[in-house]
Amino acid sequence: MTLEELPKALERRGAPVRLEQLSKVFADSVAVTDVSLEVGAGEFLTLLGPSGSGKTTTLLMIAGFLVPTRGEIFIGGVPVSRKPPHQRDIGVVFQSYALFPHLTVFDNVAFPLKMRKVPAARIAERVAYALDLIRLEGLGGRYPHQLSGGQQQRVALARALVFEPPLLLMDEPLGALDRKLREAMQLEIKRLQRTLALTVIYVTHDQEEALTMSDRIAVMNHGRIEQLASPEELYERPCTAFVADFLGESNSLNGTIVRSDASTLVVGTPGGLQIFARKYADAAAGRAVSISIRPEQIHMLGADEHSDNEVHGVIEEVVYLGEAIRYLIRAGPRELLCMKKQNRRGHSNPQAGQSVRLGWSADAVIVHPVEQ
Amino acid sequence: MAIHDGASVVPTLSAWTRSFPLEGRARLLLLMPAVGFLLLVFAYPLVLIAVRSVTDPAPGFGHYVQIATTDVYVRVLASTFGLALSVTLATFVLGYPVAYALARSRGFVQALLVMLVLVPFWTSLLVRTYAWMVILGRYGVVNKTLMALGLTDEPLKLLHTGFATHIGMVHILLPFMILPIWSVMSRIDRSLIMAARSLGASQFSTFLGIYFPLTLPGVFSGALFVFILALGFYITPALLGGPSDLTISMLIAQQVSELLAWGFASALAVTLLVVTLALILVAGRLLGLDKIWEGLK
Repeated sequence: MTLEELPKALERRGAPVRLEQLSKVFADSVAVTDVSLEVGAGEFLTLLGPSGSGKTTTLLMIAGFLVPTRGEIFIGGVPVSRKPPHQRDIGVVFQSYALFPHLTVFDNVAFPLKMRKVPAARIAERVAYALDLIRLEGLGGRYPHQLSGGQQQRVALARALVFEPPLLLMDEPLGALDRKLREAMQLEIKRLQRTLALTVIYVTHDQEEALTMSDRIAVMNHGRIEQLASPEELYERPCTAFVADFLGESNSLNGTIVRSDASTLVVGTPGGLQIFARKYADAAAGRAVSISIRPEQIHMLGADEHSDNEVHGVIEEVVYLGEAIRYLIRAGPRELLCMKKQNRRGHSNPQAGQSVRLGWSADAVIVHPVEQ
Repeated sequence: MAIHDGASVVPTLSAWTRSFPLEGRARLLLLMPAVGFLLLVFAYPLVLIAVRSVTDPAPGFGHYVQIATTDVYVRVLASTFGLALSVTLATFVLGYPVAYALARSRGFVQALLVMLVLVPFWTSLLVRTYAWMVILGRYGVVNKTLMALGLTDEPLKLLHTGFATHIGMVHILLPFMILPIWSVMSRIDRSLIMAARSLGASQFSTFLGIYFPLTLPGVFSGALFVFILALGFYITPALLGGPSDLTISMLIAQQVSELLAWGFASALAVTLLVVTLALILVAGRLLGLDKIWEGLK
């Protein structure tokens, strides 16, 4: 069977999901506060955040293992928060794979079908489809401990898909795999999700994984959604300092607006730097702000080159990354800037202790007002 | 969310230690004291008993012929195995829910449950047997309560019955069933249960299809402990049981202390040992001994 035929074999498509002011309060802590979001049918949405940000708690509420303190979950328009997990019809892939060790691969994948009282002949057919789908045909007789980590992950995926759930939840499913395998599995999951038009809610703390796979990302922090947007928008226009810092590297500096023109702002830092940025809506002189600049937006300027922002500094540290070189540059008593330079053959790379002139455009500076 | 970098380090480290095992001779040297001790106080007397069973008072297999052909010995042997089996079943039925409660509880409740299981376990077997004599006696707690409530006019015969033997043995052997099952249960990954539920299994199907099968190694090893210990029980059946509830160990004691028939007693002991080993071997074949070992790990 080819990939193009597979959607016909697995008929059901993804359902839209809506969370309405979902909150979870534990005896000693608040895990999730007022999380509202909508996931379109066939959309890949990632909950991204550090540990303790509430992303797994949110996932467990959707799966039915935690009862929300407040709020409601709708799957395909139907409220489900009172339904026990086994009646929700959601595929869940766990970080530990959670394959049943006493059952063969075939019986693991057949388990959800048996629970749904599917006739044996149909089960054999569907399990064969599913194993085909994850490219593990012929391994049905093995036990989980006889498989590699990557293969176990695929079986867990097949088991969560074989009963055609309208929604697939994944909790750090690739966390235990090594880098190469993780990247291969990312593409594989993405391929399945597109082919089967699955609605996926994916939990991870790995920002690179989130950027690669997601249609949209909800960045969570302290039980709230900080920003919900496409990967591109999150990276280019993070709306809080936390998001800017969590997604990719970022130079964060605190300062005060010293001047505000029609289109530009000038932010003064404690160390005396004057940084030009694009004006945002309610900017006013005297406001405390934090600014972020991505390391790859900063360049070393040649003698006759100029930029919106120009800063003198001394290289403190050089880190060789292979494809790029990272410099830590002292630009003021409290202003240590990080910049990345592509490692090109034939270009000389400055060394630690050397003085350099750095430049970046006003567009590269993201300004966030600081809550007071 | 755990940090996963550590996970890849640990197996590598353990693989490293595995690749540098103790030198053969060093390992042998470390094993010497334990092996020597066992040879001296276990293997040697066992051999003596086996030898005595075919030499005392006259050489030959006469004792074994007598055991196999005398109705009463075969019957006592069978009833001893029957008793061990029913005690094993009873400890399983009572112990499994306790083990589950232990595995699911946390903090203070768990500590309390552990104490409730272990304190009797640490108390002398003789003390516990005498306690049951006091409780089940003609004017013991049970009978007094029943009479005070007017449920019975005269005391019931509780002590010196098969019932009393069962109660005493089940009580004493319960921890041997609970502890291995608990140990297996506490190692079951919770996400397996969550996975089963998310895949459409009700709580009952999850228990039957996933949880219970995963606890079987613990059940097997607990059952093995209880069964083997129950086979050799002497004090409890002797003090709590009636004259008709003879076990093989009581028969052996009788031969030694009353009839001074050391040779015949030895033959009975060897018979018990051989039949027990044979049974375990057969059970191991049928149930998969590897599962039992996994439970003991």
